[in-house]
Amino acid sequence: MPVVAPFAMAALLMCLSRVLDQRVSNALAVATAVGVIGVCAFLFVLVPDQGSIVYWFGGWSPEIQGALGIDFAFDKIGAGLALLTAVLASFALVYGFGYYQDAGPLLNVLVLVFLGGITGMSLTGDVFNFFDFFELTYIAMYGMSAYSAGDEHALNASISFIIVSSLACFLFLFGITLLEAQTLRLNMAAISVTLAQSPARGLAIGAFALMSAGFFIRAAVVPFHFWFVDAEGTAPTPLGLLLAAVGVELGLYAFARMYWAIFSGLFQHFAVLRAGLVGLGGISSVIGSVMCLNARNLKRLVAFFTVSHLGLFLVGVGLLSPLGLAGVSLYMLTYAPAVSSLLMCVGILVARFSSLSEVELWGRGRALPMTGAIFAIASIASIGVPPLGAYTGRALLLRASVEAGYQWIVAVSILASSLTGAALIIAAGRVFLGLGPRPARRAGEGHEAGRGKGQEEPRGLHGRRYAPWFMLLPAAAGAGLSIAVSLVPELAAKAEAEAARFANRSAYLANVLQAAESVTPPTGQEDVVLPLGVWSGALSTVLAVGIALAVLYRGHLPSWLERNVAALWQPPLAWLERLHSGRVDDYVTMVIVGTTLLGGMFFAAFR
Amino acid sequence: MDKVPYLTAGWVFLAGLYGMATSRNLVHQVMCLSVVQSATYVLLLASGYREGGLAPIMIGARPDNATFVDPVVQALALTDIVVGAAVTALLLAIIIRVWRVKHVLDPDALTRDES
Repeated sequence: MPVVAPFAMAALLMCLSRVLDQRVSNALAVATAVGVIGVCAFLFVLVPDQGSIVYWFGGWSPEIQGALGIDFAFDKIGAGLALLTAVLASFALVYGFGYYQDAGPLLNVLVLVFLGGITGMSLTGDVFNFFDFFELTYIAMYGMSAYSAGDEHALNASISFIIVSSLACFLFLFGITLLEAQTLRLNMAAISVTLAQSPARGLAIGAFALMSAGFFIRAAVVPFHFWFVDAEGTAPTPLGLLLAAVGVELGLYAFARMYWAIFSGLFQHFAVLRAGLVGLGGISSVIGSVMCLNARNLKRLVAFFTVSHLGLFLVGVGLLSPLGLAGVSLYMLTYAPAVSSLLMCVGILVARFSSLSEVELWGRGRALPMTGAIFAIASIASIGVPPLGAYTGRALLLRASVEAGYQWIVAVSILASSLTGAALIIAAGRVFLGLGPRPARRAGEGHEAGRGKGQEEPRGLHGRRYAPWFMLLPAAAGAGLSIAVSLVPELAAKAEAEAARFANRSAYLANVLQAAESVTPPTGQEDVVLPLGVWSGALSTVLAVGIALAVLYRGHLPSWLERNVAALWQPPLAWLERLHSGRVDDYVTMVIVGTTLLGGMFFAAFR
Repeated sequence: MDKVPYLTAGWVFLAGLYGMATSRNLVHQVMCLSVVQSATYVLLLASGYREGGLAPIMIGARPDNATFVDPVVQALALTDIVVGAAVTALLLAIIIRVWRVKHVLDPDALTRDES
């Protein structure tokens, strides 16, 4: 029902687009999204604690046909993800009121298709069904990115987005087909059971490597993240919001779902796999945060901010422990609304001043105090200043990594959050307060700042004193939601229990195939506000403010310090900048390199 | 199980990837993407093939104990083709717009900064 409704409404709106008034169409779309929120919330409540719901379509349950049918199987994490998506999609819809006056209901249609796809992905228990929804969400995003593309940079970004993402789909499909060839099943639980009895598992590992490459492309993990930054830098805000807040994270959800439902029993050298994934996440996080501090295009800044956080998410998933997963799901729950709110504020700036460049916008944001305030709150939430916003999830994540023996992740997390935090503070300070001297244009800046112009943003906002309510309201709601979620007591313990359920392969199999009564593992309800989370969070906040002030008032620093820092900072940065060339063929090469690496890693873990 | 179709699929996949990584023309690049996609069709059909299998038409008279090729993967291939056609069309439409704006099809010329 939550899946079908958005598709049906999308089709209806498309058919009636000539007849319906734009306002009616908007209202219908928002009503659908709100309806989906309601249904998802209902499902979320309906799922028993640490249990799951299985529904076989058309009554093709496994007793009759041996798991040939298609099922939906989900637990609180899946249902929660669907709920979160529905909330964000309704933000995007409301925010999109002012967009595309001449496009009719196209944007609404695409957002609804996206919503349907994501809810489908979160709930399904069938591999191919999963793949279909995976592709559907992509198609909705292709449409949005292509529609608004005005100049050649935006067009190029959307071409590389489509090409690289299609590759992700094909890799995923290749993996599925190999699995199918081996097990003759498409149901996740059935595949898992068949594989466990099958002697030749090497092929399955190969299949998993291909699938994971597809997921990581989607999840914008370094070295697969290039398309994301380009697309995010030029995308219209409603798309950018959906993409950064849930679109890419779904790649990691896909990985986690496939790993725990199907493959978790297959690896001999668990530690190798874990080290590889955590390492990849750490690298992602550091590169993302460095590029984030360097970005001057506000949307690219948020994009790298996302890459950096996704790196940490990958660390959490890659720990392959329920605790890490719990950390990620909490982190995600607070992070997604906050980042969507940040993007909406940036979108308001673009609409008002037709610029995305921190340099051009210097001090001009003072005209928009409300937007500035929301931007500040959203920054606080997404940086995770203890005890607000993303803080709870990150504390849990850090505890999981320390328990698994990855103490260095704490350092990575502090580095990443202080750099990205500094980037946000600098941006906010420059744009909304006019802090520091007017920043000078740097060499090569025209290139970066140029991307993102020529996009279609709502017109008729230029003369207005205040941003319209439909843009401010969702932005404020996003920031508020993030903070509010973090203040719910006992959430961490609950997330932990649910994650344990998600990661329990035998319980999943038992539930879907109704073989035996599932045994829910007992989880310790430990104290979550631990000193580690507090001091690391506080330290990164202080560091972020420090770095931000240092960059803003660069002129006041002793010159030897500035020179030395520049000497350390510039060469690797230049190298990274060169890698982000914007050329599709380079990106494809990176995909090949990354896929080979992943394959190697998986086989090392298997042998 | 015959290995030839699987090797073919792998070969076509890699050939397409190579083309995409080295292409100097956007249209050519999109065609290479289609080549990569064709590899998935070959693989899908190969995985569903049964030695001596019949077409999976389950209505009407059929010999007893007959084997059928797997209809599920054929349906999947069909889905794949539909999606592929849509994506290719979209990409070509964007490329036409690129041509209108810049009159180039070389990805290099597209990203070079002219200012």
